[in-house]
Amino acid sequence: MDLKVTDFSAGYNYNMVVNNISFFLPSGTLTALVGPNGCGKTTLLKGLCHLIPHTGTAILHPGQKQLPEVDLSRYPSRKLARYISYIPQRSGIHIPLRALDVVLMGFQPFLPLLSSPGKTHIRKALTALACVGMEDCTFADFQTLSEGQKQLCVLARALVQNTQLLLFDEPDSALDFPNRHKILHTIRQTLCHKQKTGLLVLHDLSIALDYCDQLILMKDGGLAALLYPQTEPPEELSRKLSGVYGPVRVFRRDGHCFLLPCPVTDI
Amino acid sequence: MHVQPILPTRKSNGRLLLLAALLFTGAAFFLSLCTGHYPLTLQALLDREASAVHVFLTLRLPRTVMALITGCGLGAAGMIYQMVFKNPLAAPDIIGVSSGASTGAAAAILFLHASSAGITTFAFVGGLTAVCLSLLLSRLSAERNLSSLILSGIAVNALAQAALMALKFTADPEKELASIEYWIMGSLGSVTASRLPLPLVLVFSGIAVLAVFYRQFLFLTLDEEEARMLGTPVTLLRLLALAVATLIVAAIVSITGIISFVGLLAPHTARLLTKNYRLSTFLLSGILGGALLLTADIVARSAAAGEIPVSILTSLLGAPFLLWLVWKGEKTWT
Repeated sequence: MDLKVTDFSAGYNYNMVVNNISFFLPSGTLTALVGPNGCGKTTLLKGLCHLIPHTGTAILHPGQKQLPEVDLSRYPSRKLARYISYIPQRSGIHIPLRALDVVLMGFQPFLPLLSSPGKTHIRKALTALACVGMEDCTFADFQTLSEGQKQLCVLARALVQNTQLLLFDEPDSALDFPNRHKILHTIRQTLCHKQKTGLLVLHDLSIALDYCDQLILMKDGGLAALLYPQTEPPEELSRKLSGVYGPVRVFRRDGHCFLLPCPVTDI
Repeated sequence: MHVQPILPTRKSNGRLLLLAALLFTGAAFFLSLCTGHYPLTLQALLDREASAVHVFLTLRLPRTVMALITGCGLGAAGMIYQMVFKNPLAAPDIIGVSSGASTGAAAAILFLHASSAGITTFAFVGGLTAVCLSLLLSRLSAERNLSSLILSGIAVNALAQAALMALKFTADPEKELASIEYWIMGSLGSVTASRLPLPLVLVFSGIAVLAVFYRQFLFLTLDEEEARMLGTPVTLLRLLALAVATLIVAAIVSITGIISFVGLLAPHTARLLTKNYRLSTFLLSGILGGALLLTADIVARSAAAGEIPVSILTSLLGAPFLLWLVWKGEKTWT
């Protein structure tokens, strides 16, 4: 489903941090939300999840199919969780639970009240754990896992939740180099195959440029620029990014984008 | 080729522990029936000796059953309180059940010179009033989250303590003050068969409700935002957990008075044994609470010539255990 966000503002206690942002996320694409620390990326995500006060609209359009639109702001949390999977910056699990049980939590919005996950759910959860490379930790206590492993585990939970909209807040912040690429690849594949929509807060611009179809660049709570790494020339991308981050240069080689801070004499 | 993952086999010591705890509780139950000043023998009961049967049915059995349900109720409710408040030291006191009940009981003793049934009614109402007040006050705050609930709980607790102190101050030190103090100390001595049905029904139906919803309550231990984004109606569920746990505790303390540390000790011991938060741990917490209080009550009745208030014994057991937990560094909440 496409996500259309119009004049969206969000903040805490009516002190708006994010002001009048509008953008469009086509279904099947991955979008990165980038910008310097404190520019309101997390606030925007939380506003889209209805976790904090916000104004404006965020509507899921069903694309070409003749289905009704979904205005997310009208939904209670249980129904909302069937459309949005959200990964916070840090997972808030404080009790000893097996990794498998953490992943099984992803079925919660779909389970009838008072029923527990059955064998099919457990099979799906095990597949998801294997998909993020955590099959060896299935029965490990979540609290004993490393931060990166916890992130993979929570990612598996978001995968089994299987929602139309994926809102992940720095899902890769604790991951090592190969895992980071593997996870971004997995997310891209899932979006592409199932025509879902993804919005990821990312700090690694090279990763964002390389994997995402669109970059939403934020500055001081507003929209600074929209970047399309696959179609725009590197000079244009460099110019837009330099406006927020200071002098940087984007290079494209063998179809991959990457980024270095200026000055760079040659590459 | 798609490989079907192999389903995990259940490898948990939960059932074994539950069975062992049940056996121990059963033994303590039997021993408690045999303990007391009046020498009861099985032979006398079987021969239907009038005095033996009378002692057994009106004193020994109700007291033992009350000790069991008190321990079970406090242990199970304690675990729920700790989960809802995400704090290993959370106890019914945190939102004012115990202090409200004490104030209610003191008012009944002072103004109505009430019988023990009257004191129970007042304590029950007092405990529930204090909790309702805490919940209402937290609803009035701008941010309806956990910390506003804890803060209004502390405020109500302080108010109830102040009222209790005022009542004590005006009490006649010879009779009324003594009976207020004695009530607060907590004892199973005043339990009779006629007062048993209400706590019996409330505690066991309460534990049943908590067990049915237990899997949902696990989501309350997550950060609130995460729980909501997993489709949990956090506020509603928290209210349900607190209401049921409070009903259990109020039904108990209104009869026995304040019994300290069982609600803290039982869940911690259960978690130390199982090292998880599954349903079996919750049930184990209840059973261990029952075993602990049965044992403490046996000692209370047999250690000295007179009867020792059972709270002294549970505290004597509880405080060193708590210290041991601190030294051992149980890392449940980090």
